[in-house]
Amino acid sequence: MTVDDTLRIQMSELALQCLHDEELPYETPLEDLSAVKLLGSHAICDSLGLVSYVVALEGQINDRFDTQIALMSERAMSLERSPFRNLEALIDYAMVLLGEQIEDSQ
Amino acid sequence: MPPEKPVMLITGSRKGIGKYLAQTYASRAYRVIGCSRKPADWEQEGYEHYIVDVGDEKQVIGMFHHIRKTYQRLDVTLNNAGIASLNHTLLTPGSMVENILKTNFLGTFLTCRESAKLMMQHKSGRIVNFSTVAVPMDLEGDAIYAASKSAVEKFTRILAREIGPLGITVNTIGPAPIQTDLIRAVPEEKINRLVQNLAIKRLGTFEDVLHVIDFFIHPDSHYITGQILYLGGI
Repeated sequence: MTVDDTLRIQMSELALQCLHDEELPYETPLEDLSAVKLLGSHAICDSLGLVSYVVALEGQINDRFDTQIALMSERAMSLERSPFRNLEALIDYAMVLLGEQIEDSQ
Repeated sequence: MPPEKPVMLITGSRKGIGKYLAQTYASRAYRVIGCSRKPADWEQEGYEHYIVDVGDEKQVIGMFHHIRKTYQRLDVTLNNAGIASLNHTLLTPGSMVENILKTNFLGTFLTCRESAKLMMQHKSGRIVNFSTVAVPMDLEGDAIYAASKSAVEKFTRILAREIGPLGITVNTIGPAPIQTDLIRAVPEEKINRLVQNLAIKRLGTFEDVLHVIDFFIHPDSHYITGQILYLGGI
């Protein structure tokens, strides 16, 4: 298992824990992270719920990895495909930010 | 372990009213975190100072990262940091406008945003922003300063609606002129004219400001949000 794989597992665990903490509905066991829609008509949360979830996840990531990543940013909003469209996309995006911060700190 | 004392952040706490508020609340069993662009030349038990430019997003995020790690909570934020410059619009350089907006508005915005992120974890919090009676008075020479504070007022009103459901209140105090560095460069005649426009014709005091903040941050003030309260009767 690579470092990236380990990080991804940790990130996915955090993302699921935050879903649980924010009392958002999702199926367990969760097989397909992309099926957890965060935006749009089939989203598991409303807009305020998304804000709460993203802020909670951002805080958990920064606590766990001692980083200062910001999930909500100009960069996130200007991406062609929103990183907030589903859980898998959000985890992918968080992995990119985390990787950049770890690289910067080395 | 999170501290038992409530945690308060005060921006612009190196001197003037920020210093007074920091010392007062630290002596009232708050854990007070203050910040300014330069180091503070004073210390007090229960007070911790950060060197942060509130208009610098990275620095602000770094400070909140530290607050989150150290205290795991934030109960009150007082957005006191501000700069002023009295100038005729035709003689005002763009760089001065940028600096004033950066500290007074962007700084307030960044601190509010990061405060709310921390406060929402406990579904409670109090934010107090700072405006000025110069906003409703429309004083010549105050266009940029008053405009920056006007932005703070509108921001307060809308932010109140956005973070109300998260259990956080945000209000703004608009002090009358107080004898601080901020008005030191303002001609006495102009200050006198301003004071004559108030219902109560005197300069404001630190205690006047403290009283309003006490009201806004009181636990029973959970139904008071999005308000602008001017001092002196304007």
